[in-house]
Amino acid sequence: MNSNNTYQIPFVSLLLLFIIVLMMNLSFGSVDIPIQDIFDILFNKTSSNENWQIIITEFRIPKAITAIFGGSALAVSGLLMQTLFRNPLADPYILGISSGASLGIAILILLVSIGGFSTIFLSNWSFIIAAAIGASLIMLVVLTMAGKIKNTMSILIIGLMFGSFAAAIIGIMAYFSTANQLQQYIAWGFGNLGNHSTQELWIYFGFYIIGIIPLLFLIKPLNSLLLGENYAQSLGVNIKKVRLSILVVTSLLTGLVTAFSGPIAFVGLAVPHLTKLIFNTSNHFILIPAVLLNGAILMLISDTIAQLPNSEFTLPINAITTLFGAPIVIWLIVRKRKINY
Amino acid sequence: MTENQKNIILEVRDLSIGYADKKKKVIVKNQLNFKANQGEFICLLGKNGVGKSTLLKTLSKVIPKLAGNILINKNEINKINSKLFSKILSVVLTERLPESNLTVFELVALGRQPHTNWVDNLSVEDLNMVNNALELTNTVHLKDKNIFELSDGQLQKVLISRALAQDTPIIIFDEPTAHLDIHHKIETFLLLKKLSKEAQKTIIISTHEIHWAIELADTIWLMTANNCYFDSPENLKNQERFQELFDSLLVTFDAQSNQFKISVP
Repeated sequence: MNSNNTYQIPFVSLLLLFIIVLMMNLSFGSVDIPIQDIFDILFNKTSSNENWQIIITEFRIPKAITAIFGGSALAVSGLLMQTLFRNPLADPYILGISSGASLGIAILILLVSIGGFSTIFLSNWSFIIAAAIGASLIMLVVLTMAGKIKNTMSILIIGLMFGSFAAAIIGIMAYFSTANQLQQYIAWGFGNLGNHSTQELWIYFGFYIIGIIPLLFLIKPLNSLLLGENYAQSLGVNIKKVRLSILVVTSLLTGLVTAFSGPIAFVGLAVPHLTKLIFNTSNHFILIPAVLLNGAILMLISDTIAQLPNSEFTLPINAITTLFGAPIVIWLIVRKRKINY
Repeated sequence: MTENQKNIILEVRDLSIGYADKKKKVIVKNQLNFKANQGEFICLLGKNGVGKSTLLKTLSKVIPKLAGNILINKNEINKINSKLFSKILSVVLTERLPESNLTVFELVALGRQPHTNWVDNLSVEDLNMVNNALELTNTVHLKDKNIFELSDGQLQKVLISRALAQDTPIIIFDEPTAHLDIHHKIETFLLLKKLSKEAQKTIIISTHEIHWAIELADTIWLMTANNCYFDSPENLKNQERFQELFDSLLVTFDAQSNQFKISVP
């Protein structure tokens, strides 16, 4: 397959859109900060208002970075799942990763209250670690089984089963929980992009890069998978190896985002569709960078809306991604009258 | 070395085909011995369930052989790595393609994957191969269409182009005429025959169109319940092998018309 110049215009437009939404994201919030001051703070490290500088560097930039990482990682994971499983409804959580992370969080909350530990244990780090352990465990089980199974569709079903299994355990735990515990658990489930220190962000960045780099080597096999596994194999693709690589990358990226920001819905499902409708191609050489970019854009827009400009309130990010994303996808599908994956 | 021996591309010795897992082995056919030459048009005949697909899958390394040797250009296929193998043998399958936004051009260009670099960039040579493949099957005008806008007949030709673009000396087709009307069936048969001669490809197809196979094939691989024959259509006809295709007394082979006749009791 070939890349050609027809894709330059949409790519340039998306890049511009990305910069605009990033600036809006930094500018709007409980306090509106003029774009001019944002540029000053970003490039000259000075500002007419000391408080603004703190708000931008300490809060809004880390939050924007989390949004960019999270949106792009989830979106590209969704693309990988949809291509691998040849299913337009596949999303990054289809392998049960978010359920695993949720289980980790549920156990953490329960342990802290039963063990009588002080709520200091419910810090950022403990949430990240608990979610990461939960996601990794589910991921390890699914990957181990995937290594033994020939049929790709069976992996999908096993992933779904583990997800339901974890959800059931959470259900039992929730039944015996206090209102306070439940609230903590539900609050985590709403998703949260903020509250990350520089140190946390560096760790996030490190794992993010480890997850993104293998994508370069998956472009070609992903394209051949468009013809189905048998044709891909006849083109020299080692199906088992490629399948495992796709699952490892997806698990890593999705587990990472879930650990840092909670189970953020919808982005992974919708962005690949949006991108395919905009670019009208199935070529992963185009789709992967476009999906990364679109994921980041959608997440930044959602976060800007969630901040409710000029108010003290913040809406749950999870609700916003769906509330504003779903109508866009429906509109595009009705307009183009078709959707492929 | 005679001229004939020089052109042998595929040689099979004492081959057993079938399915095996840890617990048991199901042998479908064994002790198969045959050869195929460069530029040969081969039709594989046999009734459903006799093992045609198993043989083709074994030859194309989709399933492992149970015993014996398969040599391509005198190399044992198990010793050829999958990258290199994809430059030697291509396949056209009966299965439906998954849905996608692929255009005809992109689909045919995917055939170039074994030859392209890691980002799948098409070189001038790749582009020439793709265009050449489209020209050979008369599908250049379909180039920019989405593959789901095509009729079954058009899609079959495009899939043949994809295999041609892969530029392999051997192409295996699993029932290429199964979904086609009589017009496209004949067209496909003639096209494959033409390609085997003009492009010097070894083309192996499984089919149920026995009369056309007898008329057009250089060699017929005939699989019956108990035996396998690898010979020219004339020899097989003279030895009355086609009668063995159906064990029922209701169906008899008429050598005059190359057709099976139903004898109503």
